[in-house]
Formats: sequence, structure tokens, C-alpha cells
Amino acid sequence: MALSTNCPSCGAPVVFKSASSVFSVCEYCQSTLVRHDQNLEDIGKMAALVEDRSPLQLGAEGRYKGVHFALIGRIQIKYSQGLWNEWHLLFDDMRTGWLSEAAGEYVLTFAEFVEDRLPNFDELKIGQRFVLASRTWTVSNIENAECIAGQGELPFKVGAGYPVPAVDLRNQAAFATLDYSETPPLFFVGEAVDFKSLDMNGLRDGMAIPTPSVQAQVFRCPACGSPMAARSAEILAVGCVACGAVVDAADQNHQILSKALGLRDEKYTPRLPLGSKGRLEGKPVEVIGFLVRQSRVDGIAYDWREYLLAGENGSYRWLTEYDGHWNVADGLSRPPTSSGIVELDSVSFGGQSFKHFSTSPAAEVIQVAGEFTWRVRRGETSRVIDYVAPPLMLSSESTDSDLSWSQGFYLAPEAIAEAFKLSVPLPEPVGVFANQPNPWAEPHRRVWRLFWKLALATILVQAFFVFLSGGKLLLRQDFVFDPRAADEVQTREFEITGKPRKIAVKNTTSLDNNWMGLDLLLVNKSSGAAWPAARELSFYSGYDDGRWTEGSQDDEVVFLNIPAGTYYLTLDPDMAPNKPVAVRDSVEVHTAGAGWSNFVLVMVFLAVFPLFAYFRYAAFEARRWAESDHAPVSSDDADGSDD
Amino acid sequence: MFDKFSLAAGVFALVVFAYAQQQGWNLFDNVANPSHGGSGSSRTYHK
Repeated sequence: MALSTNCPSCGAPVVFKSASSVFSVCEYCQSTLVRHDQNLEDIGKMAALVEDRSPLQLGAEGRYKGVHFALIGRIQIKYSQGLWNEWHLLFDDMRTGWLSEAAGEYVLTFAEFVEDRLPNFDELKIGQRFVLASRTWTVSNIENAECIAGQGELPFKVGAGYPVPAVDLRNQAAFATLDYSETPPLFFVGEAVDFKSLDMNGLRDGMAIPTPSVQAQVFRCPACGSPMAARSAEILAVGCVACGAVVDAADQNHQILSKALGLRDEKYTPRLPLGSKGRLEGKPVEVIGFLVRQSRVDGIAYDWREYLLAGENGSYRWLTEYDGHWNVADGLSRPPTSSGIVELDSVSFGGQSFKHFSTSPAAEVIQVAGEFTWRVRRGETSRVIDYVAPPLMLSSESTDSDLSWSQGFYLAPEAIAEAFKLSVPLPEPVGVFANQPNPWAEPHRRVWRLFWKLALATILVQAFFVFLSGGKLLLRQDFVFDPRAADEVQTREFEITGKPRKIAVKNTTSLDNNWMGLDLLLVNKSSGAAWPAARELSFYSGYDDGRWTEGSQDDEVVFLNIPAGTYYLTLDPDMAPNKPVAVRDSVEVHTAGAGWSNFVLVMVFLAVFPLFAYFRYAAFEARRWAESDHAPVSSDDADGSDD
Repeated sequence: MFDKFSLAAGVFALVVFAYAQQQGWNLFDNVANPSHGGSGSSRTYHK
């Protein structure tokens, strides 16, 4: 229930709308009032708020998940990158919450009581992961912020200079803050929200949409006097295009963050000049900032260019360029939970698995020009870890106090030239980039799919011939050939039916260190037509450093296109005269089934195409990964030779 | 382009394979009368 009373300092009416509000700042005389039952105590004047361009104000209303709320209080906080507001919300269901407003990003949180011991502020490090309230969190930001002023109803005492040590935690589903300004610390859990989704009304006039593209400030570079501009309050640093000095845009005296360069390196001229306008994915963007980062590996410097793009409604995007390869990247408000600053083999995000590609322990900013939403300095370093799932790239960038994630999408130079309507073509890409799509990936998949279909068809054709044609036994008869009376013998008669067939005759003998010539004759009983075949069998074996064999005791010969009829075989043996050993011979005659050699050959032939597609695909991947931290070590590298 | 070529080559190989199986061709057969074909390949046998 609301409590209405009067300010003990000026007599103006003071209303406590929320029962949990303990403090209120009189909107007329700025007295900080403490609530004691029905009385108010004046504990001094609250410092004045710093004018900002927030579209929000006390009394503004909105809806969150269908529940109406009103803004009843506000704390303005100063941190390393500027100002942020914490708006105290009172919902119709009597819950209170906080709407954090910083750099055009809005996060709505609710206080949550946890029984777990909260970690000490000093114990926490960027990227550290721990479980709190049965959820895993990653430390994404650590700030030693300071309260500037308060306004309206607040649940705790605030004042100018009041320290607000705060730690931001993130996981893929939620956002949380540990507020160490109270003892014990307060734990707030919520999520990033889209400003439009809050359906706000009662906003400040002329600031209905939180866009930074208003009220640009123009000033001169304190180092060289060249004109500089910051398009909005969100622009905290501006790099001088003329001399390279970096200036604090939020500072009234435009303090220099990085000194002017003695000589600007022409090789770092931006390919997209500042102020270039274009359309990415159908949305207008403008290049407002350009910086060059450099990383050194084994003494070799690798540098890449980054362009800050201002988009619609205060949004920002990045374009990155390395050796002619381009990526468009967006910051992630809900980053992967599985990794902090520790590199992992892979990270799951958005239903995809990203493989670790490379880690740059100290990516240094070496050139700055244009406007930036943080106080960028030349020489500042960050640890950058890249994970890839072409055409996507997931990058984490961390400093001692901040961890941020972004997701990039690979773009061909032609797409950039088209987006910005460039008249001069961009440089051709060199080599294969980390998340460059493999042009052979799709043909590789298509050819393999085709192979499996053709292989299945081949198996079905083979099965048809194996099961439906041939393999029927027509005759089996045993003979014993004696070298002393090696006469011609004749088999029983057998029938061949149907169309002309391939007939196989198999001889299985008991030859042992012996040989035998065998003249076969397949004879049609009624016509007398005959088909001859001369075979020679030999089989030798022995021991000579182990058992050896040579030749075979078996033999098979086929007769093609044998017409239907009644047949018999004659066998005329020719045996070794110096070895008077009888040889048993088991003769089998059968219609020949489908051979397997054609099947094997056609499968090998069909496999040539997917194998070629695979090697072409794999060669591209090898070139990609040769540039990563996981490149195969060559023998030259491994032996450590310097020549 | 390559997948169209592989489709054409694969289908051609499949057709040749089916015909070879139907004809009973086998690279590794020991053919008794390889230089002949049909019923006219035989000679008349007289005991």
C-alpha cells in the first residue's frame, strides 16, 4: 500500500509506492529521505543527476511478460566506460525489479535470495565459472563503479561517491549481477530485453526511441587541432584521422587517451573510409570507427582491421578484415556458457558446435581512427579466442575486467563491395580463412549421397543376378586317375535347360607335390557338338623356413553360351609318369552364377568420384587448419632446424 | 559440374555392370572357349 507524507525539508508531498522502498529523494528539494514507519528523516541533499540522453524517466510505464510496471526510482552510476542507470521498477503484482540501462543495452533483473555462499569480490576473475542458485555462471564483467546520484524511491541508501563494486554474470539463458555495495552482497537475476518489447510509455519528450544518433558533439583534436565528432553520448573515444591521437569524447576537456602517432602508417589506411554508408542484410550501416589489431606469434606480426558500424536504433556491428577475408560480427548478449577465458576444444552455441581455432594471448590495438563506444587506447591488449563453424566464427575477447563474445559471419569481398557500392575492387583474399566456407563441402556431400544411391542400385542388381540366375548344381561325380592306366573317362549325363547358359566345371583333386594335365570335353549327346578345354593342375608344398605351397589342387573352367540339351563330360588325364600315385578328382558341373569381379570393379569405379570429392574437400580444410593453433607439425618444425 | 559428371558416369557404369552380369562376363573366369561364342563354337565329337 502506498504511503503519502510530506518532505520534512520543503513540505512537498512524498509518496512511497512500494512497501520495500526505504529511501526516497524529494523531487523538489533533492533531500534524501529515510522512511521510519510514518515519519521521514532528512539525511542530506542528494547530488544532482548527470544529464544523459536516456528516454526513460520516473513515472514511465511499461510491461514485462504481460505485467504492468512503473519506474519509481533511479540510481545513476559511473563506471570505467561511462554512465549507466539502474531504474527501480514496481510491478502491479507488487514485485520490484531493476531495469539496467547502459550503452543502449537493457537488462531487467529481480533480486533473488540464495542460500549459497556468495564469492568474495576479490575472488572473482573474468571468465571464471561457478555454480550459484543451481545454475552455472561465467563472470563477464567486473566493475568498481561509483554512485553519482539517486532519484525517486529506492530500497537502500545511496549517495554520491557511494562505491558500487559489481560483477556481471552470464549464461546462455540469463544475466545476473552480484552487487557488493551491500553486506551481504545482493544477487539479481534477469535477462537482456529489447527496449521495444517493454512497450514503454510516458517517456521523455523527443527521446521515444533510445537512439544514440542525436546530439552529436563536434570538437577539435587537442593534439593537432583537426576537427573531431562524436555522434552520441555512447561514443566514448574518438581517434583522430589526422594524427592518430585518441580522445576521450565523454570528458569535457577531451582528455587524450593515446598520444598522437609520429607517423601514420599508410598501409593501415581503411579500405572502407570513415563515413562510408552501405546496407548489410538489407539494413543501413555507417562506418564510424576503424582500428587495427596486431598479434605476434613466434615473432611474426599478424594484423587485422576492424570497422565499427553504426546501425539502426543505436545498434552497432563490426566488420573485420584479414588478408582480404571479411566477417560481419555482432556482440552476443547471451554468450556460450561452456567457456570463459579458458580455451576449449569446442563450444556449443546456437545448436552448433564450434571448434577451437586459435588463441591470441595479446591482441594489441595499434591504430585507431573514428568513433568508439568504449575508451579504446592504442597499446591496449586483449586475449582473443576464436572458435569456428564455417561460415560462422565465435570469438571471445577478454581483458582483466571484461569478457565479451561476438559471432561473425564470413563475407566475400564482393559482398562488401556490393554492400558499400565500392567503385574500386577490394583485394582478393589470400589463403583460406578460419571460417571461410569450404566451396567443396556441398559438392562433397552431394557426390557421397549419389554414391550411396548408386551403390545400393549396384547391390540390388548383383543380388538379382546372384539369387535369380545361376548357381544350380547339374552333376557331381568322383573319379580316381591311376597313372598306370590313365584312360579317358566319361561322366554321367546331365540336363541343361532354358536359354544358352554359362556352365562351370570344377575339379577338386588330391594332388600332392604332383601335377596332372586334364583334357575336358563337354559333349551334347544329341547333336554331338563338343566344347574342349585343356587344363593343367599342379600342387606342391614343403617346409623351408616355414610351410610353403605352390599351385592349387582345384581348378574351375567355364563354357560360355551352352544351349539347352543333354550333356556329358569326358576327362582325359595326362599324369606324371615318374610318380605312380593315384589322384582322386571330384568333378562338379553347375550353371555359373553372377560373378563378383564385375561387382567389385563397378563399386571401385563408383567410389572414385566421392573419394576425389573428399580429397578436394579435405585439401581445403587442411589449408584452413594449417593457419590455426592445431596445424600439423611438419618434420622441419619438429626437428627444430633453423636452416 | 563434377556431381553431374559423376552422376552420368555412375549411371553408365551401372548399366554396363547390369549388362555384363546378364551376359555372364567375368574378368577372372578361365574360359574354355574364349575366342568363340554361341552354339557354333563347338566341334562335333565322335567317339
